[in-house]
Amino acid sequence: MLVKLIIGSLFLFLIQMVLKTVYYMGYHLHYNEHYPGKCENVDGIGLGSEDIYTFTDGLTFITSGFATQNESVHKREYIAKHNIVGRMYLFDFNNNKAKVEELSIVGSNGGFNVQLFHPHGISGWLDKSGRKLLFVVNHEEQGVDYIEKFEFVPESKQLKHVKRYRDATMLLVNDVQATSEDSFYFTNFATGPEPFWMIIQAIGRLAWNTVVYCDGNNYKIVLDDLFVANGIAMSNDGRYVYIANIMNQEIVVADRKPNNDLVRKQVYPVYSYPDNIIVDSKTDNLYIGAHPLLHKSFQTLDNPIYHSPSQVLVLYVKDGNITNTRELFYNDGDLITGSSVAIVFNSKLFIGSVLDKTVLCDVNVPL
Amino acid sequence: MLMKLILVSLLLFLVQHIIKVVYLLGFHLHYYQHYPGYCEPIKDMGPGSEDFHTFPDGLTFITSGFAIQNESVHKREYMVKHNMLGRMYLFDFNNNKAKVEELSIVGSNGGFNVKLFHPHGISGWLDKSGKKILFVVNHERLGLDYIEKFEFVPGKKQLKHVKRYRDDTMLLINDVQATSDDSFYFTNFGTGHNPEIKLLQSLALLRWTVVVYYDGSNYRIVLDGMAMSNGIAMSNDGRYIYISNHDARELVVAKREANNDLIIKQGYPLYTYIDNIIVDIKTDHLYIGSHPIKYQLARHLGNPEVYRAPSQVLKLEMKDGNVTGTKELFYDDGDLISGSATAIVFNNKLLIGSVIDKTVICSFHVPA
Repeated sequence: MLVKLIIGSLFLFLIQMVLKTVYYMGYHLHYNEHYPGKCENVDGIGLGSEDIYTFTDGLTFITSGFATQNESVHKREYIAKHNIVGRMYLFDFNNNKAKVEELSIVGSNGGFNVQLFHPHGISGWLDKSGRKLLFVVNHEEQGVDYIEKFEFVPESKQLKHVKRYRDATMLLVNDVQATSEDSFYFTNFATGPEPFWMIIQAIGRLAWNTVVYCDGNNYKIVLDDLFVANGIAMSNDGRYVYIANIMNQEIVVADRKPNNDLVRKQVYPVYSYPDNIIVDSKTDNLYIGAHPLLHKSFQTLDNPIYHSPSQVLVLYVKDGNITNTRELFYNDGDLITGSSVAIVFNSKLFIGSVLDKTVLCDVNVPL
Repeated sequence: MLMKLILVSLLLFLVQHIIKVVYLLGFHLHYYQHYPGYCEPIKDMGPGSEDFHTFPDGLTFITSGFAIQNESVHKREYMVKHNMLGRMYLFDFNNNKAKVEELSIVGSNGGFNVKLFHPHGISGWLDKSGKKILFVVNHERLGLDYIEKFEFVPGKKQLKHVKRYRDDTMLLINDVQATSDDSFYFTNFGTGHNPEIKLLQSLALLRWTVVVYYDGSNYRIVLDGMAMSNGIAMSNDGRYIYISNHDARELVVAKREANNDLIIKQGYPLYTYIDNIIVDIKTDHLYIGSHPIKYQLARHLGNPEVYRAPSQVLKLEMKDGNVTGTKELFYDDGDLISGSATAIVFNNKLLIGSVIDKTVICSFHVPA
């Protein structure tokens, strides 16, 4: 009798897990395309523009050629076929052109090797002398994860590698948010590069991921119980930190304590899978690149020849509370697959994707 | 043993049906708002702009004050509170203003009484002398459904009633599509005026509504098995008829035979509850007003004072009678406009009508 009860319960538990997983995959969802204006592809960029950072003068730094250390067979074939290597590009919002320039990367501090470079998240900072600094997440090929610091040399369109950060808390890093020229937050989106634990975590909906803070010397976990922490950004006044808790379909707004600890303030549901977050330097609103249909995103992650839809959301923020949302862009995947980041600057919408094209649209609608 | 089998089967059938209905009601759906430009409501209008017809010169005739013969208590209170009567409005796309003028309605052919007038669907036609003719569905208060024909008198901003159409095939009419100055198709969205029976049909997912054709002398059913046929429109060349198969969430494209029979060519799923269809005069593309979340629409129609319902406008690209692409032009959670039923883009402006709420005009700045 007891055995029947146990087996029956296990069976029901399994069924509800299967149903939940199928539901979250979003097979039943249907959305329609729409654009804020005329859209075109950006020239001169290899595949992928996973994250970007735009300085207040309109200069935008783009990471391209995302890959973790353990990619699937199909993905590896795709990477080899399309000559996808880790690159950094520069886009200037002041030119009215849909073009980018590739930046040359020099330097090898702490063993940094540009041939093994695979950038992911990025965050910018202006140092005291007004020089542009960039913190970039690096999934070093056949190695471990690092956060690399570069200095932009405008005359030679060059990124000079200046420092390399590494710690055991860097499990599988996604994004970074600078808080000074030598301190930052970063998000882990898995407990390690092996796909096995990622699958277990995804099916069991286990909230195992963390946000870590580096104060220049020490690293400490400042937020946990996240279900795949993805993008991270900071409000203009430095009071709030926004984290895309992607698999839980929500944006976490956290209060930043004087010692840089983070305390959850608001958890805002977005009913989509949010990737990177960019804070508008004038309005404090958030621009989010998102993946609306999980089943399609998984297909694309495994084999990039499949298209998955792209979505850009604007989240309106008041006093650290997200109050409203608007959808700025939706495409089924034929124009751009897997949008991961977006920004509106000078009435233009720039959208980056994980491993696909990059798009620039006119913004003719009220924001 | 057999009894157990029958009972369990019936129970399982019931359970799967209930799950289907709850799913279709859309409690689990979440969409985001977006607008094609700057939008504002049109002032000084009674509630509702369920359908409208735009002539090529930009003059647009809007039906307002939708009500069927048996309305709920809450709806009746709402109608009294907002002085909601059956009215016809004129909107001119050539004026750059968010304003309408009320048209005076004269004439009483066949017993037509403007005091009992509750218009619903509308279709326009230009007769041989270029006069604007309008066919309007009328749910006559305390009476039956009629299709009324009016002539527009531009000098006096007047609609002169000229003919009244009535037949037993007019069960619960939704929309009409003119094919000449004395013939038309119309859709029934129910099998009668009893709201409880209509609700039961809807919940049981039955497909009992029909499309009827009037050729000038006789009425005949040309399409049946529709799950609540709603809007109806004709392609510019007269070859295809588009029908909103509302409860099936699909657009039906039918080929028009020489004898005006309809043969279904394509059933295009849209995953939203579509209402009226307007065909773009230049491009042949379709503008559709739609209700994306069913339970919110039902709640709003039953008690409009308290509940809002989301509004959505879709544009369908057509080629040779086949749908080739969809775009969403507008989505609002219901605060700006609830229950969008009809829409058109004309002169870079988007006009949106609702069943019993406001009317909105937006500047249109996105690729169409």
